[in-house]
Amino acid sequence: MLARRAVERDASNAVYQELYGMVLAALGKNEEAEKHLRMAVELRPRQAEFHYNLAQFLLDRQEASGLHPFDPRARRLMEDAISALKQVLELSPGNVEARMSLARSYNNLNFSERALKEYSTVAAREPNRPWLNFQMGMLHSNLSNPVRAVASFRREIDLYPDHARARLELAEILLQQGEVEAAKRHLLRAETGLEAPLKHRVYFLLAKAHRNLGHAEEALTAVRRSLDLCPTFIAPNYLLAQLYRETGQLDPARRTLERVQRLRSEDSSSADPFAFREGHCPGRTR
Amino acid sequence: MLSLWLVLSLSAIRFTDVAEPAGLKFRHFSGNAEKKFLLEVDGGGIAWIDYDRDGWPDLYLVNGGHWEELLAGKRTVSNALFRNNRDGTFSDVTARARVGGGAWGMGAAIADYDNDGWPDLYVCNYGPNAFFRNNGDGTFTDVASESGTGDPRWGSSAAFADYDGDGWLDLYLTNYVKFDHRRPPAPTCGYRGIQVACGPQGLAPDGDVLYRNNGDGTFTDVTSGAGVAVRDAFGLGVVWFDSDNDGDPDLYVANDSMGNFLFLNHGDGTFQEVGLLSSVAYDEDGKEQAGMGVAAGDYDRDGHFDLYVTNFSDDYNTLYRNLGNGFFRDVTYAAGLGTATWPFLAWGTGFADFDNDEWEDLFVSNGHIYPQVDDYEIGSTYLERNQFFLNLGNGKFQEIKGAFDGGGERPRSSRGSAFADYDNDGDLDIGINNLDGAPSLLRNDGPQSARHWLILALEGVRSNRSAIGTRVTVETESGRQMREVSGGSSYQASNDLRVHFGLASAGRVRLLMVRWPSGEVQKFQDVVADRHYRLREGGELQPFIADRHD
Repeated sequence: MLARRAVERDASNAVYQELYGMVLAALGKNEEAEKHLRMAVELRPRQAEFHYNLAQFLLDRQEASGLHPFDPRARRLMEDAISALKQVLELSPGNVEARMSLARSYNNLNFSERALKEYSTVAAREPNRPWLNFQMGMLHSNLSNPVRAVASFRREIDLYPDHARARLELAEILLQQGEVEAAKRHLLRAETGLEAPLKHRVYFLLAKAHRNLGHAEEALTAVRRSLDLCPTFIAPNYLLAQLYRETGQLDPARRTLERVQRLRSEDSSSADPFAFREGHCPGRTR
Repeated sequence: MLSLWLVLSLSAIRFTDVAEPAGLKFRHFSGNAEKKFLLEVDGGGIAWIDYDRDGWPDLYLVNGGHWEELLAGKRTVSNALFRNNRDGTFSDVTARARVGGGAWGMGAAIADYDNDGWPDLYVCNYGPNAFFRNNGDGTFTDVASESGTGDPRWGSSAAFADYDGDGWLDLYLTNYVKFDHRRPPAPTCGYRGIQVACGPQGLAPDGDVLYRNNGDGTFTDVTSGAGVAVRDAFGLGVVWFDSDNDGDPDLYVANDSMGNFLFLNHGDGTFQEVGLLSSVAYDEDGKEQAGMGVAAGDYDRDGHFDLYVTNFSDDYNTLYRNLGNGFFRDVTYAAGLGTATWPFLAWGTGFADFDNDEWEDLFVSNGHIYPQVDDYEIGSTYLERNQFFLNLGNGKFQEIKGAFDGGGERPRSSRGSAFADYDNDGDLDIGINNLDGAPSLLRNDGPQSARHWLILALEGVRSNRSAIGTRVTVETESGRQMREVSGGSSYQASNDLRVHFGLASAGRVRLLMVRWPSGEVQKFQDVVADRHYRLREGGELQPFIADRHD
């Protein structure tokens, strides 16, 4: 009420507009809030904090909307947020939080190289920032640059040895590059640090590592542990079938392949790489 | 020793794009630049055909069309046949040969279907397919209608083989999707959040066809009876190869966004689909991929043909190693081929020993289907470079990024690719059809002359005249290599029907063994390298020197 009165009294006061916008945002009155936050920016364009608040408001709104980042409405919010964040950084290049926000927004909109550039700038200022090297590792990985991804994940682990997720991602790449023993070491460390939803992937990758090393029994044990945590992903079921076949258990192999086909026809998310990566077990309440 | 050999190989391989100086005046057209519809992104077949039987491979390029003309029911663009002038250049003989085609074209396959000694030409179209019978006088006649092979649907690739062993070549044809250009789906589908053309998912897949050659110029559709009508699929690539070494051709089909098929030939005119059971339907995680092109080859020289399948971007092309017991294993990452292919949308491919070191390498032609990806940074671009992977001889491959420095490195949207030693100098060259562009002719300017080779042209007598399905094995000091004469593979493509072997330092082949589709086996000992040979089934190995126009 006070904030509204202040704006009514002096609409040209940027601080009043900003305050009122923030209050409206907290009350969930988004359209009104955006109007006043924009007004504040317009009245005081050199105030980095106002640009930053507008950007955060827009990003929060996008996130709360539940819309996919590529829905035109969500996209508009994110593009506006990016413009605001760029303003912040023009006025205040050392604002690390704004740069991190900008990087995340670029990433969400498929501008991976721009995101990497922003993260790299942050890394130059705050090389020990938690999760930073992890994020860069994920981006390098998405851009098919495993060498840089490995370097980033390793940096993250050097700084934060208990970062189990970084070990998991690193292990997957090492496995692909044939560094099976190293991958196994990281997976065994990750096993103790990860929560249940992602543990299925640890066991799945461990099973792959054992298979590549020719240790079929250990591989079978690991893949079964993965399936205990989530029985409805296709990948571990398919791996189980391969292992049965390779150990001469042809009937179980056949039955497991039938199960793979059943899963495929019943629930398309059972083959969803994103769900698999993030541990969203199909058919289970998240 | 291996490392020295490797260093020599790495530095030796080099291709130069000579399409323009060679006179390949051709431009591929495939609708509009925005690529709003699936039909505009898939075509671009290519085939090497020695249509005049002079020992110099000629080149056939399939063209697409203009969208507006398609709607108006006309087509002013043309496929093209280029005659090899035997001096490194080609002449366009399309008009005289009458092989321009009348429909929006896709793939091409070569075989002498009527056993008259002249190779014929099958062309897959969006619309009725064409079957150009070679009249032996430089002209062709379209016999699709009278032969019963003019399938009117959206055909992609075709491949010939004598699956029933009667001496007449049969034909497998992949059909892609049910599509009506007059009512195409609006381009409102999403790819990584980007609005793009729709399909194939969301559209209805179409059924493939197996035509049995009746031996009288006609074919019969035996798809159902032969057991290859398992389910409709988004069929794109196809290759016949003897998967289980039992002497008859099996069939592998790459399906877009669905499991791939492996049809085992029972030898009684029927097949069984065993893709899932044999582990060649999906990737190593049981995931469906977007199969495009296919290649079969014994890259590890263990006496079993392996498979390579090209796929969409954000995924890898898959190398399936044939374990020899009815099963395959996805060894892509172990072979060093995983990450390198991830950003690329791949089409044509093939195993071939480009550097004559006795190990079959891999070539892949790439190009995205969505121009819209260039507006983002997702690690892929619309125009992409092609890739050459050198076989290191230890189960691994290494991409040689400088292999195309001679002009072939320019990013394009490539589609079909096919191999032939078009200049008869003992190494294999590559023809590529590029979407909306001029073709590439990558002349192989390596390896060093110190490496030996052998090229063999085969002619069946009891077997089909093109000798398709014939297995040739050569044995040198270092071991064995094998090839099969293939009637179509890669993506919408056909390689030269001659078989090529690199022999490295071996100046002679200790044993050359030919297993004909008829079952007859011929053996030749102490065969001198660095020559072209001709072999008629049951006859003697004849050195052949092709006349050159210098």
